Amino acid sequence: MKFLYSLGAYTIFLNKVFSKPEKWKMFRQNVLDEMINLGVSSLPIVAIISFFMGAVITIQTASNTDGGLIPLYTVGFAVRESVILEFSPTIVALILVGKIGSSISSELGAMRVTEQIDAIEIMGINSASFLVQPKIIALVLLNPFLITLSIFLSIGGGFIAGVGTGAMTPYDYEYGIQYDFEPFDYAYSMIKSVVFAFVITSVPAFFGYNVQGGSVQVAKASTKSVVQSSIVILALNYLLTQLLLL
Amino acid sequence: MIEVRNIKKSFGEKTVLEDISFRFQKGKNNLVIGASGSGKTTITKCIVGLQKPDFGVVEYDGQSFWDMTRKEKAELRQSIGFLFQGGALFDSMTVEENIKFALRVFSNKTDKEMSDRVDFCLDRVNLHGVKTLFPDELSGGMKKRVGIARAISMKPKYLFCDEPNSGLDPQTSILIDQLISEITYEYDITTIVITHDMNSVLEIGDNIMFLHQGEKYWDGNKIEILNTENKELTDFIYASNFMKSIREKAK
Repeated sequence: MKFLYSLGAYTIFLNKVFSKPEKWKMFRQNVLDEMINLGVSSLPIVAIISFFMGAVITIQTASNTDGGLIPLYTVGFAVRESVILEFSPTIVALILVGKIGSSISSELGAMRVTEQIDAIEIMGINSASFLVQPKIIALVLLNPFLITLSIFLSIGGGFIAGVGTGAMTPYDYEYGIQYDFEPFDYAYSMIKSVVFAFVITSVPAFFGYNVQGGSVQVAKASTKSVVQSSIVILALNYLLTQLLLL
Repeated sequence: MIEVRNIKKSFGEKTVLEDISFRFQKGKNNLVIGASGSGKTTITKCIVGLQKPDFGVVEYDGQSFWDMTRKEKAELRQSIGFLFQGGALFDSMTVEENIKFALRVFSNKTDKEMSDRVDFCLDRVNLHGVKTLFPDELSGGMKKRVGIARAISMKPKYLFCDEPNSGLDPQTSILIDQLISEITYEYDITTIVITHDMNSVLEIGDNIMFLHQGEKYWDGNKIEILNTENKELTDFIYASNFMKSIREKAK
């Protein structure tokens, strides 16, 4: 029952968020600001995680295929498939929930308890649309680029780890990377990145926007938003995989 | 003019406002006074539409707020200035950006025109050299002044001030009261001040409503309040021994 109530409240919130902006010029500027604030500032963490993720997958796969029966190019193939299909869109999304989601929830929660949201509302501005819509649009537009970068960096990390440790030759790795490539896998990854970007921004915004109380409630909302967003991402990950790959 | 009729509001089992009717007059400082928890803030939120009353009517110049369309409400709100108790200044923006905010959203003014308006508003509240500062670099009194400057930036017809003196020293409190009063008379607007500060009541109270436990117990002006025999109101005004002794002497 509580779940249905929350779902209903979330739907009403989204309806308020996706109303026409007061001024398009200001909206465009806000989207650009949020792209820098949410997306560009996440580049370092995405890059570091992706690089080491690719390196670890390569070493683990290589260590399991050293019997000589399985060709070495399988390592590159396995890295590409796991990175594109799962690791980059999903793991990076979970990392971004921690970084971006908690920040959105805390920011909006603090604005709520210090009456800044009320101030916007009293001025005749739809505060949900003004504050949240640019964040959602910005990350939905930028996340596919972040995930694409993550894919390339993971594959690069795998190359350095695999070739650097002498586990395989550059040729084996590159051949595996190119072997039996399905362009739809990339499209599937991009679809996930867009859906997850929506969750990463909208769910924490919902929790932060509706905070009632003081700083303790802001902190609780921030924690709750990260947990709930992560669960929603994992559930949607399963759903999208079933819908798109089977 | 703003008129409320038979306003009732409850939160769960608890009734916060019980059948409140009052007329907030244009060109006057209308004060809502009462102890903490008497319903002052709730009635203000009901008037500006942040909370919907369970029953009753809120009228702005004869037009019922809760019967307005979303667009009409948005338009009306552009004519409302609100000074929040804690300032509610946008902490990611400078003082200038705070005051410009509504102008940027609703007007088609050029940057120069908006800057001129910011200068005018800051000048009106006697603040200089603070345009580039952020709210956390301001004192409590300065924040209130910036809050007033932001509230008048759109030339409001209605000005709401929620506890404008809270957290301020007596001298600054009087200056803020005088500023609110000057603005009310100068622009001939309907000003509603929520307060429990007796200095404010005696300084600027043209039209006063006293709330006690969610009910209206008394209304009048700053002269009448000194002669009242209303028990709840006298208990509120003369709560301190010092005030009691003044009253005894006066008698």
